[in-house]
Amino acid sequence: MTVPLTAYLVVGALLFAIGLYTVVAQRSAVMILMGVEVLLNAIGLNVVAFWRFTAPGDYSAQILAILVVTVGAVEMAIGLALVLLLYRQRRTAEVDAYADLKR
Amino acid sequence: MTALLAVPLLPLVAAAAALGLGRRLPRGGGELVVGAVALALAGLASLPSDAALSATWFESGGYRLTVGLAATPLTRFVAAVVAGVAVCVGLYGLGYMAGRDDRPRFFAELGLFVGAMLTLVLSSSLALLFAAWEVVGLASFLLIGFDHAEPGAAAAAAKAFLMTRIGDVGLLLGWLLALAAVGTTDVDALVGAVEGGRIGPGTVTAMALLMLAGAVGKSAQLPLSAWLPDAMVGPTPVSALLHSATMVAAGVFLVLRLYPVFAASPGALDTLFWIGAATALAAGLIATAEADLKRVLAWSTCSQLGEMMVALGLGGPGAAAFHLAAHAAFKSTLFLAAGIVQERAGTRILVRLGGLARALPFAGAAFLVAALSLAGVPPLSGFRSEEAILAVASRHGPGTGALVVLLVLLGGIYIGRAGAATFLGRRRGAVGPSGPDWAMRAGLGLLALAAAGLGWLLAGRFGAALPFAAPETEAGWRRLGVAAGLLGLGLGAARGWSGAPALGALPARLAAGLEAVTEAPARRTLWLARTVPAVEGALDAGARAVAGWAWRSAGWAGRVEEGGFGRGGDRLAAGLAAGGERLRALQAGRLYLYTLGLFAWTAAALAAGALMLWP
Repeated sequence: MTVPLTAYLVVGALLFAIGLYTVVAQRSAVMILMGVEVLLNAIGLNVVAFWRFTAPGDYSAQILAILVVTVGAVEMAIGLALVLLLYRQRRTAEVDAYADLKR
Repeated sequence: MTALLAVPLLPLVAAAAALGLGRRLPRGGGELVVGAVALALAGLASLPSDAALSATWFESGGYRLTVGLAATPLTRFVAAVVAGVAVCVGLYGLGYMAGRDDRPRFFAELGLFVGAMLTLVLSSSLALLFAAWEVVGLASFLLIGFDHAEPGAAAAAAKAFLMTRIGDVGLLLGWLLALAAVGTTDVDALVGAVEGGRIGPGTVTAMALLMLAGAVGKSAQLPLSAWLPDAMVGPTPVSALLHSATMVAAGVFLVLRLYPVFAASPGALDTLFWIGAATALAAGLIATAEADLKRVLAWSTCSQLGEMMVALGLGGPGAAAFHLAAHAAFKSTLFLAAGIVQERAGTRILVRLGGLARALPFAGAAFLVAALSLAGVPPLSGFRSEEAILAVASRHGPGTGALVVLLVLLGGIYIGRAGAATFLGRRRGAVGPSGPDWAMRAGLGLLALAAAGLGWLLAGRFGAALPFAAPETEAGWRRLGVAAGLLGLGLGAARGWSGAPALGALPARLAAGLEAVTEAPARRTLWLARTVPAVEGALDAGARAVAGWAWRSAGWAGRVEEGGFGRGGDRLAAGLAAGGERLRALQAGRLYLYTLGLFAWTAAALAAGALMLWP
């Protein structure tokens, strides 16, 4: 039996919803970054699924998927570096505490 | 030439200095003015015989208006008389004004007068002469009204100003006519043109009559004589200097200066004679009945000026110039003595004076000398000058000779009455304690000396000091004149012992009638002068209405701006501020809100794109 495209898309949408919820609901910067990673991977899953079912002969979609993963890794590195710096300065990773621009 | 320029300028500069520094000086600036006039007198004496100074003021079309000064023998003589009397009267004024706060103003106006009068006399240009003539009139107005708080002073000043102004219009038209006929305002050019016959006889007569009108106004001749007695409300030095010796003689001087113009027109000479004769007789008669000492002297001044006009009208400018000088000396002496009388007795009304000879021996002696001089008693100045006039008149005919004898008789009567009522007889009023101080004595004494000796001094110098030929008098006429003067003195003293009119009530009625008749033109001028402010008032009201309307519309505009634009701006700003406050919540630093917003916007954009791209 083959898994239909709809199943991949449902899993992708679920992943996206989980990521979105994580980004919106979590207070910790690390958790928000996790959510962003989940969002990114939901997109990646969608890209791969669409490639597999619509144009399996065209490999540019795989390049796009690899690019998404790469960008995600790079973004993760930069994001974690920023959070680490912020944590060193403020002794906290709660994003609501970073409200200096409000004054 | 600078000496000539300095003569009229010195008193003017001193006047300005007196006004500025007078409060800090012990004599209120009077010493500056007197010193400056004395310097001017010295400068006048040191001038070369034909000093002259002339410049073109401007040229327009064919007309050349000049300004200039010239020390001809005549102008130098009259200028010396003016400056001499001014020094003596100024000296007297130092004492007369002592202790008064408004002295600087007095001496400044006096200096202004002397400077303007010297300019008038020395001017070689009709334009400058006219300008100085007007300044002299202004100074007269200011000085008559000097005690402006005193009742009647302001009215007398306005009356004098308006009545002389009527004559001044004639002078203005006269010199404009001369300018039109000759093309320049130079006096010598005018005289040359008239003597050379280059101007038609009609024009010459018109010119002479117009200028005569100016002379009549200034010299208080009929019909413009009523202002002079009223001018006696001014301070006594003013009466002595302006209204007896110098300013009122300006009319006579004008005729003397332009004598060739008058001589070329028999009609003008006749008019001159008749005006002079009528004034001399009428004013002399009124003087015998006048109740106020200074007003007696004022009417006497009118009469004596009339006598000069008679001499001029009969072709005797030398006699007129001689009498001008002699009259200046004795009449200012009389006025200064009258000023001392008023200061001591507190009144000038003759019936309240009397018996002052013992209390005021100095003033009494000066008054006596001057009165005898006026009555033509030899060998005083008045005798010499009236003899000269008598010579001119008697040569003209027995009628005119008799007229002059009659005038001398009248002069004797009124001055005899005034002197007797003031100094002789019973004392009728209280006498104050203070005597005249040294300055007043010095001024009065110098003038009394001149009143006594000037005639003798000048009579021997016809041709040198006085630029005219000496008149020859027949012995009979001379004796008649002296007898008339003595008779008049005796009659006046006898009849006017108590201050009553010397010749009955008729002259008083004459005075009242004259007053009524001669005041009519002044009244009309005054009406005109009052109409002008009314018209101006209407214009003013119109302007005020326009200004009020503009003010109101400006108020409206202000309210619109405040209520409309202002409040609108405020509301806009308040709305923006409230909106900003609300938008502020979006930028609250809550990361989840940003994220939700981002996804919401993206979803909305996708939805919109899907809706639009749906087939």
